[in-house]
Amino acid sequence: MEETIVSEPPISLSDGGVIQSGVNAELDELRDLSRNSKQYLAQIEQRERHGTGIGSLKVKFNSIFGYYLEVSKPNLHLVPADYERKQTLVNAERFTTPELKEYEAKILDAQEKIVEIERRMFAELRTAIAAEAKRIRQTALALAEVDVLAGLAHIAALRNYCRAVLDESGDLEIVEGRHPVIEQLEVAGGSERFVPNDLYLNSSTHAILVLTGPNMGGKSTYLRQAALIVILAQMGSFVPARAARLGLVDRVFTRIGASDNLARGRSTFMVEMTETAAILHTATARSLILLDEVGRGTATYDGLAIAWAAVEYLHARTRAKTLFATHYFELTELADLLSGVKNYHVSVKETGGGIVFLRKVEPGAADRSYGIEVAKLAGLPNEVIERAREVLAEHENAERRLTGHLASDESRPAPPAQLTIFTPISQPVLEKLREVDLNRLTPLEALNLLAELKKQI
Amino acid sequence: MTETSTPLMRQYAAIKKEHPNALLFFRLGDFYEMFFEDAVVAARELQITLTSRNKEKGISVPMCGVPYHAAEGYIAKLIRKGFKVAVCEQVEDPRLAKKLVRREVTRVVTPGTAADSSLSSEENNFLGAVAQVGDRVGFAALDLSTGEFRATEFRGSDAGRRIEEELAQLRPKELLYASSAPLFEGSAGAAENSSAPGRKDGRSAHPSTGYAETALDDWVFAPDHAIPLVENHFGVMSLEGFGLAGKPAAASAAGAILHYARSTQRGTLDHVDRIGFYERQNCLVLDAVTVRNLELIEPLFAGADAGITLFRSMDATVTPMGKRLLRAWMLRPSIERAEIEARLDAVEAQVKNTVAREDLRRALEGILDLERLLSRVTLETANPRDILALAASLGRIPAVRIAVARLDAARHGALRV
Repeated sequence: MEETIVSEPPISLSDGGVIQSGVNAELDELRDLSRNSKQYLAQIEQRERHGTGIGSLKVKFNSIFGYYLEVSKPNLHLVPADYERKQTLVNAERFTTPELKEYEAKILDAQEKIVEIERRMFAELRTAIAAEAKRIRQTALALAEVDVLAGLAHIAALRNYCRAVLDESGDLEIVEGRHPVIEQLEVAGGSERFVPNDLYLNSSTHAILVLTGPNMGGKSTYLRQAALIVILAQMGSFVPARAARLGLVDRVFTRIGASDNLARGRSTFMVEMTETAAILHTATARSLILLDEVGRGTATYDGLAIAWAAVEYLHARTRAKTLFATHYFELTELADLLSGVKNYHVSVKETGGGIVFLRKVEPGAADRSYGIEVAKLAGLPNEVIERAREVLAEHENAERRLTGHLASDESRPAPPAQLTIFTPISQPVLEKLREVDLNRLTPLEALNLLAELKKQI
Repeated sequence: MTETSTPLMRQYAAIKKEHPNALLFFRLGDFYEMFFEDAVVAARELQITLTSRNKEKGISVPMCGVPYHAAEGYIAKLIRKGFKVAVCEQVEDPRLAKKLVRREVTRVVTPGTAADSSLSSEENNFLGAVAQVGDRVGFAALDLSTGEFRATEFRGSDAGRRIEEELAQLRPKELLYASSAPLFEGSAGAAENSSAPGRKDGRSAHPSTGYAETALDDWVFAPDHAIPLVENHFGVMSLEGFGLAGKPAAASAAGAILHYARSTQRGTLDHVDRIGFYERQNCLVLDAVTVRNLELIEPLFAGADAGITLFRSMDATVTPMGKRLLRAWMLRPSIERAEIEARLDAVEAQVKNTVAREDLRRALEGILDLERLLSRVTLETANPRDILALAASLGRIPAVRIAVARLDAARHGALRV
């Protein structure tokens, strides 16, 4: 190829100048002719000037009229008889002669031939290349693969990744796993080092992990890094972890609340339910499912109930490995009821000034919701924060009293005062009712009490 | 069946006309009777006595019957042999009837819709259907006895072969298809062979695969009819929740099955309460939602920096072809252990040998997009610069070869082209 084509060829073939010299004899000849034509024309010009005495006579060419002799107006009387007029201009006239005509024909002819030969040769070259197409394509594929593998190796070496061990077990075990993208962004941004986390999923005791804890605490990151590590491993790359052992996954499902398709005219909840349905109907025991805040798009009781039932279904029927990040604290009770469900939480440290996200995932349920602390970090006015804390304390106390009563009945220790949505808000009313001794009330008193309570609701 | 002068036989003939391909069990008092050819076939298959009814102007009509309380067993036997049975009952009290007791076919039992206790418990009894919509071919299968319902779909030139694989895997007892589209070339021929005598005696079992083929009218498989039918049956707004979004052929096959099941059964098919889309895969499947949610190749929020995608983060390739391949591997990771291990071995070899790796990457650097350049050549749209570019790129290969030679791992060996 390099021998055939000049080193700086034009883009288009139509004007020639593509094929190198020394390649085709006929071509070279014609080119010579073309080149020499300049000389020849110069000669004609000289001769005619001499012969007619018109010093300013010129031999020129344009693409419409071809070659012509141009004579300016003042000299027209000197034009010999055998000049044929071709074109009249304002200040000059253009002529041709039989000789010129003949030469013109030859040159144009040669030009055409040159282009034609070049075209033909180029086409031949193309065909020759095309004949090797299969080999070239195979080479291209091989090069692509070598390139990818080299790139992956480069990154693995640079970022201290490890080789995952793959097997046919149903386990996903990651030691000190990191999120490949976020880790790099944090390093580049100069902030603290990425906090690595372990992950353990299997098809029996740790099939479904319920992850609680404040938003911004790292739940979403933990979920995503699990999936990304699986994908990287099955792509043939090393993974960002100290060690990893992965059973082959057949499909990764994600249901993440943020990306809903409101534009299509479906409500958030509808979209969420449709996606969740598709997951429940098509996941297999070798699938990996990430659920991030499922049940958020509707009334709290409904959402919680659906999330609860979905976990039960996944546990009993589908048996896919599932990571479920949720704000429904109630779901942590599932771990007590179903053998394959385990609780984890993102840990938080309380300091004098507020909370610090440790980004460490640890076993067990989160013990507090920290929603108010997160709101404070977001910048909600102090007044709002203080009042929220008051309201929360009120409800928590009411809950404690209620469960305290139940506990004393059954001599069970009172559970921690985590407010659940199963606690009705109208606690004072219930309290009042509980205190009242109906046997000692007159009918009038009873009616008054009823009116009073009704006012409170 | 030319002499049908008695009202009873006329009634029989009318009903039989509606079920030409099934054996008609005609209820007469405490028996189900079969007549004419049905009787001949039944007598042979069930090993019961063939008698006759002499009431037709001297022409004896072949007849055989079974007591109604034992009928289920006989029906099951016939079904297992690939026959269809239409059960015709007396639908009014004989004592109240004026002249002729009214009779109607209340159910048609087919190999694919059997749900009785005689089914062996280890295997499913699938009713399958094949539907074609555009260039997609869908296949659905329902086990009426358990309610298991699934559907899949294929495109492309090997769709036919993959359907055959599904059939071999699931082994339905009966297969529905649109009458204008013979199933596959092989079986169409076989069906023709068995159809001439087959249609007559109500049997149409495919000799080699053992499933009965049932042709239904084309409109049963039309998406406009089939998809709403499925939606209505499950009481849903759309089939997205079952994974059937964008899978019209699979959904149409499912619709055809429901249509047929309903028309041959009494009862409501309530136990068929879900359907799942499935696919046999050769890779780790990542659907579009997941690709988006995990920000593999595009950020989740438009306008965000592309650097947060996994692709950008993991892309250390130096050639355009390498980038394309990385993207392809990322969107369809492998699920085959041998393949993955081979790649990992190669990566490991390169991780360990930094010098060779760097030489290799340097050698790859000048290589342009061979694939695109090549296709421009074969499509005859290449210009001289393209060809020189091609030449230049190819010229770098020897250097690459040398670098690769210094690396171990089987994959590198294979790539030595």
